[in-house]
Amino acid sequence: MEKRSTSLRSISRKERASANRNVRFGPITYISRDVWRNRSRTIMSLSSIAALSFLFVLFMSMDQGFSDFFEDDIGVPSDEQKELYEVKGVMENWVYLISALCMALMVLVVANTGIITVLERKQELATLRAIGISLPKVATLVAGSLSIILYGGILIGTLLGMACIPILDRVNVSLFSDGIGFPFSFDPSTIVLSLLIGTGAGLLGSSLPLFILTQSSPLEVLRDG
Amino acid sequence: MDDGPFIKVDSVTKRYNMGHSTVNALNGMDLEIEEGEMVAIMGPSGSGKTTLLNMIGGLDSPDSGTIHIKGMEISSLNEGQRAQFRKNNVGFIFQFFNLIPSLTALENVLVPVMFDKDPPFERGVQLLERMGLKDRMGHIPGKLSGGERQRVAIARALINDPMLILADEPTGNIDSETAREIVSLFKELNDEGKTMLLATHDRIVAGRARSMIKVRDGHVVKGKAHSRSGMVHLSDEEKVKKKKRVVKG
Repeated sequence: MEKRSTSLRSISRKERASANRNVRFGPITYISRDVWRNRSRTIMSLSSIAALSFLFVLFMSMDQGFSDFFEDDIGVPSDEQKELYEVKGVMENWVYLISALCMALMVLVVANTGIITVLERKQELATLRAIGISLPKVATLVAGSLSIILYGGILIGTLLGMACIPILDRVNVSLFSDGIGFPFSFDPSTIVLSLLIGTGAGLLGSSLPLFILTQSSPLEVLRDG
Repeated sequence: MDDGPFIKVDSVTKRYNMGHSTVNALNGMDLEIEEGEMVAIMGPSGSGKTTLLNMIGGLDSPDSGTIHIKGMEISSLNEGQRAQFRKNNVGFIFQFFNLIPSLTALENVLVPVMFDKDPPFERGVQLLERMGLKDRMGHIPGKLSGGERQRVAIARALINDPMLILADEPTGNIDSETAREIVSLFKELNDEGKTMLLATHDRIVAGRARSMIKVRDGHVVKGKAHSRSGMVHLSDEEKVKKKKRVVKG
């Protein structure tokens, strides 16, 4: 029996065409091609979200570290401990503030990427609608591209954060002269929280580009083309 | 069974607001087209050719009047229903091909059916083979010539086996030799029973259609057309003249 090479590089053009017949094509392929086509923008948006997720995980772990630290000190607090409690309160407020800022920036990144996507590809999206793909399905394609960027960024940022926490905890950078450092402690619930906040940011951020999409007419953009 | 015309455009008007002014794109247009015809729609820019095609294809809805396709009134459908109508019944061919640049020729053909549970993958391959693009299936549009891109667009228009094909200036962006090939392809499709409407400026293309209507200021001004069934389409002006003759007589 004739042995055939499976490598696409080694087969002829004719065989490649017939190999094409075995490729399935659906919305996932469409979305992945779209993300790859706009890879420079994808990388920029994805790295921004990754950086924000990283910061979020870091601050949440710092908050968790503080809680763990004070949980250990049970008993009547001394004056020094009371002072530390005050510091803890201030630090917690900062943690929440920075976390909220991370989320707000995430909303902006998603909205910005989404708006550019919808405006840049208005003719392509109009063509899809003209050839019979319904508006909700076109919106699904846009949302799919944004989801890859969003969850990809969250995944990278969270994993990076998780990897950095033990190192940071070991280094335990000293802030105060008396040797008290920032304790870091990673709680697995941070991943869930990170995903929830990312999803919220994604929903908020994608609402404007999707609204722009619903307001555009396939007819108008085809006429422009 | 519906015995009426395949396409019936009845007193359709459409106005567009262009800043402070209003443009009457269609001015009470009447038109009837039989099934299996190949009709060229000619007229100067802004005469209403594209608007007419968009209305018939369910891309837009009229301000007043009705449009029936095979007995179904499409002018009253909502956006979702119109999308479904376009997907199942209409194949669009555009002047600038409107292919997705990141997808291969084969994937572009399969775009209209990508959400289907069981996309007709083999049909996509067969259509491209028929278009003479057997060896170009894996190429992205950027690697194809204008004629090849238009043939991919034609294959895409045929993927759902539509009863009606609408082509807006299909040869407007390709050389004359390729244009002749494309028109021959249209005639082949028409011979297979597809109803075809071509909006064009090109007299050679229009001359090869089985019938022709001329549109000006949102009206049909001349309906030279003769279908294979022998039916003669009367333009609005001709209808008025006939009515006058009847009244006088």
